[in-house]
Amino acid sequence: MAVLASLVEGRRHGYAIVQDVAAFTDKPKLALTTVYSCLEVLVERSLIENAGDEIVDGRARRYFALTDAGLQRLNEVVSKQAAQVAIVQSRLHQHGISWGGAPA
Amino acid sequence: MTGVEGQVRSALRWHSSRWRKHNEEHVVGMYLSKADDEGWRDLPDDERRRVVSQGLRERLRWGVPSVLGILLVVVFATWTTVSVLRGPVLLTTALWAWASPVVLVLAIASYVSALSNVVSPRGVIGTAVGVIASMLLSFSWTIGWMRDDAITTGTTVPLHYFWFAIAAYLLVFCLALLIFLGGALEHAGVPALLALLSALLGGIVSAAAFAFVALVPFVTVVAGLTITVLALVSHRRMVGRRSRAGFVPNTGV
Repeated sequence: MAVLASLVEGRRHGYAIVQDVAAFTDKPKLALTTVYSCLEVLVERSLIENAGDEIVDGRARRYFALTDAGLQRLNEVVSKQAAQVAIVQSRLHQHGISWGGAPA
Repeated sequence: MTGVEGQVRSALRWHSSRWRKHNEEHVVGMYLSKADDEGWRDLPDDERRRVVSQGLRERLRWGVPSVLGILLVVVFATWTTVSVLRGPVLLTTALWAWASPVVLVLAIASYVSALSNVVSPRGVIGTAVGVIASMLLSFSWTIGWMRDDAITTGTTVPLHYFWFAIAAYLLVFCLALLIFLGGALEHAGVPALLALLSALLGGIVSAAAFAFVALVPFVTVVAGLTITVLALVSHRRMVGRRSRAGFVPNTGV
């Protein structure tokens, strides 16, 4: 989900996605292999697509962009998670517990 | 070429040439940017290991189509059961002498390959059912052969023959069951360590039955345990990859 979310603002190159995902998931030591294997799977599933290769400072960069199917999938995931969060919030509220576990 | 670049390219050789042709340059670019940010002078060992294991998985994933991988598992399961159950006969022939290492290599390759390819619960169940069915068929056939042989010679089938058959069946059945239950147990909240310990216990009990009751060649016991461990490792990696691909929240990716 984090990779798809990273591409909502527009196309990004692989390492920019890694940095964004690391910040988003609060995992500064996120392995590059994890992200590039994830990118491969997402491309295979047509949720993202290659959006061009460029050479910057002598280094190859591959750009990725969200597809319509990817945007739809992201919407589905976010909607599902939002519904789950709403249920948890409601239960916490019913038991007089505020966010963070302290009594309301 | 910097030290990091050379090390990344060297580690990437574990990927297939097809993959490298398409991806190597941009992956190297990612690592060089990461090296700048992290101040790496050399590629850290854990990163190197990850690249190598990713390459092996990629080779296995593309090396054998999933259907062929599953077929290989089923063929292997039948072959190895028949070989093991008829071990006392085959042991005396030249066939068994060279077939043993071949069975071992084929077993490892087919299990890892099939499990690397099986990415759906239906595929896992299909593989497990295939293995169990082939085991049952070869088990029934061997018991029938033993009975006919005993009738022909006018003797009774020695008790240890049955132990022999049952132990062989148990070992591979344990493996098939583990493949089948591995993901389900995890999703059901059963601690992975408990599942792993149960698996090892099952393997050890079967191996003990093999070694002390049925007098099976040591290489077969080692092969069985190796396959069990490889299947577990592959399966856990497979579940990990499936989780990443399926956007499971706990990975965050």
